[in-house]
Amino acid sequence: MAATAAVLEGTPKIEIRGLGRSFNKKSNVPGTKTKEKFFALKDFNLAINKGEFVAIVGPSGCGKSTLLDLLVGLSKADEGQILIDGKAIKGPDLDRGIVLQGYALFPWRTVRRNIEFGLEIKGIPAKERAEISDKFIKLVDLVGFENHYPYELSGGMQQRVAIARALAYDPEVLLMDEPFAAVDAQTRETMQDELLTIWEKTGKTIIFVTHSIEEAVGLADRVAVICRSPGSVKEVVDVKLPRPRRIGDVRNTPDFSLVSHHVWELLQDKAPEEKTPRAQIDIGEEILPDTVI
Amino acid sequence: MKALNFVKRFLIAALPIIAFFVLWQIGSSHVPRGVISSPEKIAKAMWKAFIDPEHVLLWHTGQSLSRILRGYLLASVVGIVLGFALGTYFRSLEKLFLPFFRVCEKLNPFAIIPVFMILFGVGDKEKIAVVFWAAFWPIFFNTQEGAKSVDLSLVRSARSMGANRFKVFTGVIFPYTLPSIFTGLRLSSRVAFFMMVASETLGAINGLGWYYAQQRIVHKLSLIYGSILFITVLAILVNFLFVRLEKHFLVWKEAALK
Repeated sequence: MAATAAVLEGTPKIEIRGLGRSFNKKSNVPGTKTKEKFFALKDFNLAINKGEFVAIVGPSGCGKSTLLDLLVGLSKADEGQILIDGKAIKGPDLDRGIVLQGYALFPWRTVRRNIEFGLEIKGIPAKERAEISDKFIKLVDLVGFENHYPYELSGGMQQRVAIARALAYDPEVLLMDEPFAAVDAQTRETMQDELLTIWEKTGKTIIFVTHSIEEAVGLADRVAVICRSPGSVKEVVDVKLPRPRRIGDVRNTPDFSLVSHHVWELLQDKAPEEKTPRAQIDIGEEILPDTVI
Repeated sequence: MKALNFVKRFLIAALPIIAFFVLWQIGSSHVPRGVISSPEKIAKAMWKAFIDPEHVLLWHTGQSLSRILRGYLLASVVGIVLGFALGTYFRSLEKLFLPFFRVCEKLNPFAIIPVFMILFGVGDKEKIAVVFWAAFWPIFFNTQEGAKSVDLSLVRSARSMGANRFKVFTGVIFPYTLPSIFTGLRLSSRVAFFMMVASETLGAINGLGWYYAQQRIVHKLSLIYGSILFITVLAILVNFLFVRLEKHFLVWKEAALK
């Protein structure tokens, strides 16, 4: 594809090369103990430029969570590799920040102390930490809530804290896993616009995983459509909508509809569904106890 | 306004207690002598015991409290450490040991007292062992279950920010488990009190339970009832202390649960 070729000129910020990740699938038939290998991802290729906003959409169980875990460095690939600035990633690091769907804020920490968590790990002295957290509290518009605990905040505010926390230690790449899936429609649109503003201000490279076509097209420069079983990139769709962008402004334009429809079509003719129950395809949780703790 | 509300709530809560003592006072004169004592007599007798220049009651109380504290602290340290070990990094051992621990927990702690008397001899060691045995289980099981149920998305979040194992423990697992630990500590503090009095009543040379048993032998009714009330008040004070501690350390949890 022409778009992909253009992107590949120069060194991409992130390069995913032939990535594959498999899990052992337990047999559903009682009495049989054969272990099959199930590929959540196979031959996954994607290159992302510095400062680019790329959305990843796909049907549920297409390996989005698996991909994100690999990008974060929480699990290891069986095949291929992920390069950041030409170097293979070895594990979690502060060059990548992550925002999870359920916010995952530390309930025992105030807004400020949540935002400072990564800075503490980085070993930044308290005084400097306070300056940095001040800056990001302003950026996500939470001035006056510094000393509130997460339970005292609305869903949208909690998500802002999560974004500020991921940005605070100044990662070059921001990974977002369906960050606005849990907030109501109105808050979501506000948050999407705020995210665009933050992105324009900070120039981060963003990988945004979502299952909403509208969200993907509205936010991103390019939308990578993933097909499932095994998960791989089906097509990378260019979104040539004007920047700076506000979702409300572009949503009703013909261009937006055209691109959205194209993405929708790509998602329709999916690969034949494999007969595995969702719980076993969505292995993200199952692998955690060993790999995370 | 707030203070007034507090006084009101306090009075409502205190009403049944006051009524109980009033009824007791009235009723005690209608019961044959030598069965129960009256609150008035108890108050007088206890007051005398408190201001006693030889501090007999207070000295025995001190003996008991010191033993409770030693057994309880030991149970806390061992229970929390083991609880974390089996709840986090040594899950495979959990499968091996937990059924056994569950059986141990079910043993009647009162029935064990005579065994401990044989094993350790009547004295400090035996009392501390009894308190330890009873206080250990709630602390251990609450810590273990709390640590085990840690929210994995929080761990993921911390790990994604480059937290190492130590930081994941101190920054996520420990604070996450703290409310459960407190629950265990509070339950155990009550149990520790029960067990201490029971073991001292069964056989001891000093302590509150011994003091209480002595009053029974000489049939000093007012001090028998007085000791019971005194032990209850001590337990209430300990519970109050825990409520304060929890309020202080678990601000985020207290309100989040409302």
